[in-house]
Formats: sequence, C-alpha cells, structure tokens
Amino acid sequence: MCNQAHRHSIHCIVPPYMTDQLVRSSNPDIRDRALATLKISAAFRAERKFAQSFPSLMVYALSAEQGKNRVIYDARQTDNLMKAIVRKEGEPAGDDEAVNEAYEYSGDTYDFFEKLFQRNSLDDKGMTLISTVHVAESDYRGGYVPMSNAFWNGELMAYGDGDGIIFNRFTQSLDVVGHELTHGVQSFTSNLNYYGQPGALNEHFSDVFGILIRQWKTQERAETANWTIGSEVLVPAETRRGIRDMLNPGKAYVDDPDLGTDPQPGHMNDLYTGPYDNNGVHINSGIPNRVFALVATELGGNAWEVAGRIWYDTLLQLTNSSQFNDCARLTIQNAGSLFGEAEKKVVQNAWKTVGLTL
Amino acid sequence: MKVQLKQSGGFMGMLKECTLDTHALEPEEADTIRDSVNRTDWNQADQNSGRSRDGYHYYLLVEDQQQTYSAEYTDQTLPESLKPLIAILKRYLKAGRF
Repeated sequence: MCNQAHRHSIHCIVPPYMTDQLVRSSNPDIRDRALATLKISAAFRAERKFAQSFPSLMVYALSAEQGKNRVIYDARQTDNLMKAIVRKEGEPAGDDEAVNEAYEYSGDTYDFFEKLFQRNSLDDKGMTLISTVHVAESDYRGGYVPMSNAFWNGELMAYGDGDGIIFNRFTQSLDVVGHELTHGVQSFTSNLNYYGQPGALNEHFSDVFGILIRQWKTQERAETANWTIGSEVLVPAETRRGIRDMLNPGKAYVDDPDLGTDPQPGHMNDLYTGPYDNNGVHINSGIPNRVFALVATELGGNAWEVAGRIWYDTLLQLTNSSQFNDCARLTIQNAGSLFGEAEKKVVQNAWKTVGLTL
Repeated sequence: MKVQLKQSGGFMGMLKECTLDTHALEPEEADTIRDSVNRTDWNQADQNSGRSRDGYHYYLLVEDQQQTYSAEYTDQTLPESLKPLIAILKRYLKAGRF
C-alpha cells in the first residue's frame, strides 16, 4: 500500500511497538519522525473510533464548508452500506466500473445543481454525496444475492448490480443516479410525503431532474431527446425500452415476460387509487412526468433552461402535502413570472392535456 | 401453510407477487418459512418508509389451519425474523397487475 501512487500517511503506520522503540532512539531525526508518527496514529485511531460510531456524521464532518465532496463505499456484495470506503473526492479512477460511475455521475449531479441553480449539494450547504455500490440482499441461507434496485436511504444512495438477466447494475444510468440524488435534494426542500399524490410528485421531481441531468450532460435538445428513464439498467429486449417513459407513460415496457406492462397512466382519468406502491407513487408520477415532457418538447431547445427552471422553483415552493393541483398552479404561475405569457400558456395546456384544468 | 407475498415499490415501482404452499416446497425452505412465521410478533407490523425512497413495500398473508396473519412492512421495518421468509418468497415472485 505504501508503494502506491496515492499514498496516505495513515495507511502506512508502523506497528506501535516499533514506534515506541524508535521514540527512545538516540538519533534525533529518528526520534522526531517516531513522535510525529505517534501523533498521527493517535489522531487516526480517534478518527477511526468516531467513524465507526457515527459513520455518516464522519463524512459530513469531512465535507464541512467544502464544495463538491464525494465518498464511494463498496458493500462488497453484502447489505452493509458502509463496509469499506473505496474512493474519496479527488482520488483517481480505478478498475471498478460501478465505483467510477457512482463517482462520476454523482459529480455530474452536483455540477448540474450548482451551475444551473447555484445549489451547493443536496442540502445547499455542501453535504457530502455518499454512494454505496455492489449492494446485495440477504438470502435465507445466510448468503447474499446482488440487489436489483437503487434507493436513497435518507443519507446515501445505494446501488445494486442487478441479476444480469433483467437488470444490469444501476450505476450505469446517469438518470438513475440523478433520480436518487434528487430524492436527497427534496428531503431538504419540499420534503413531499411518500404517499399518494405528494409521493407521486416526489417521484416525478426525481425523474425530472434525473433526465435533465442526462440531457444537460449530453447536450440533448428537448424535441429530439430520449425521454426514457433508466434504459441502461435493463438488459435489452424487444419488449422493454426503459423503466419509465416520461413522454409516453405506460409504454416503457409492454407485454414483457418478466416485467409485464408499464402501469403508468398519462391522464387523470386513469389515476391509480389502490393501496400498492404507497398508493401509487411510482405509478401516478406518469401524469406530471408527461406534463413536463410535453412542456419541454413544446418549448424546444434545452429543457434545463426554461422548463427545468420552472420546475426547480416549484420544487422549492411545494409543501410536504402538495397535490397535483398545487404543482399545476405553481408551475403555471412560475412560467408566467419567470418567462412570460407564451411559456405560461404552454404549461397550462400541458396540464389540460392530462386532465387537470385550473 | 399457505403464504402470499405482494411486493411493490423499488426504483421500478412494479408489483410482483407469489402464493406458495409449504407442502409443495423443498423441506429446507418449508421449515425456514414455518420457523419465520412462528418467530414473528405479528402485532409489530409497521409500513412506514421513513426517509427512504425507492425501497420495497411488502404485503404478507399467511394462512395455516389455526390462524391467519397479515401484515405490511417496508425494507426499513421488516423484522429480522421475517427476512429468511421474504428471501425465499422473492425467488418465486412474478410480475403482477395493479
């Protein structure tokens, strides 16, 4: 480890018994170095003890008052989300593609919010972006199987490697990474309840900024953009194109032997009112998703500049119990105040198309 | 013993379900399921997602000759005693319809 190019002094601590001996050396150079090592060792042990007790507070502490600060953990195919730190801010890419993707894409997400909305990380206070890759689920024999999911646990993003049959690893998709991190942004802003229409709006805003981050990164124009979320995450098949299709809800996968048919509605007449999925948070998000995609494609150009700005300001104004009506009212209002009557009309028409008239 | 699992949520948000009769399973799986059911305090069910987003939501129904249990959990609230049962049932999940 000490011969590696990215050497860190605390990784190269000599055994304590040797240092104790060296401190008593008659050679002042050796004695001084040994004393310095002892100080570093003590600081490292204190840091390690603190990190073991309060792992998340530790990375928050490291991020204090800094700009972009990423930490990537490797769960090593277990469900331990803080098993081992494998990459920190400024460290170079390694051989593990999942680690590199989580690092690069969380950086893209930070840059997007910082450059376009002057937002300093999720909490606007430089919060460390923590990602854990290679997350697995326990099986009933005490082993683990790769997780076919990605989630935000309130403090960090967790990504599984997929089963390799239906799902690829979830870090492969920039819009999935952006989606998860936007859940983090939301927890410090509107904090929309994760149930019913507020929950569907929560999922909607994560899809909106997830796809905008990708379009911004690849400089896609709205009218020709791909509005499918998570296409890289699915193993390709004729019956599936992605996890959700914002422009055409209900069409991301059709009659797929493993996935069935995309259940997302694109109109209020088809609003799901059953109990599953927290009263349809991932289902009914299809309705506002369609509104956003209609607005962006109608306006044309860079979706992050006009539609993105309207939706970001709306996100800051919503409350945790906001309904689709509230989102419609605020996006229409913000379109008018930020840009003008033409943009306001486009947003109004899009909501009307999905059955919401104010 | 008959066990039914409906799983919703996850990033994908799809509904998956399965219904199994322990008599039709391998003895190791059947024993693990029965043990999980017997070790669980069914009065402690909790369906709160907390601050987590895109986690799974589980709807569980267990029927045997004496009793019927039903409960809802999330990844955050799933008791340790039920994890082996859920792990087995997950292997049999198929796409369901909302």
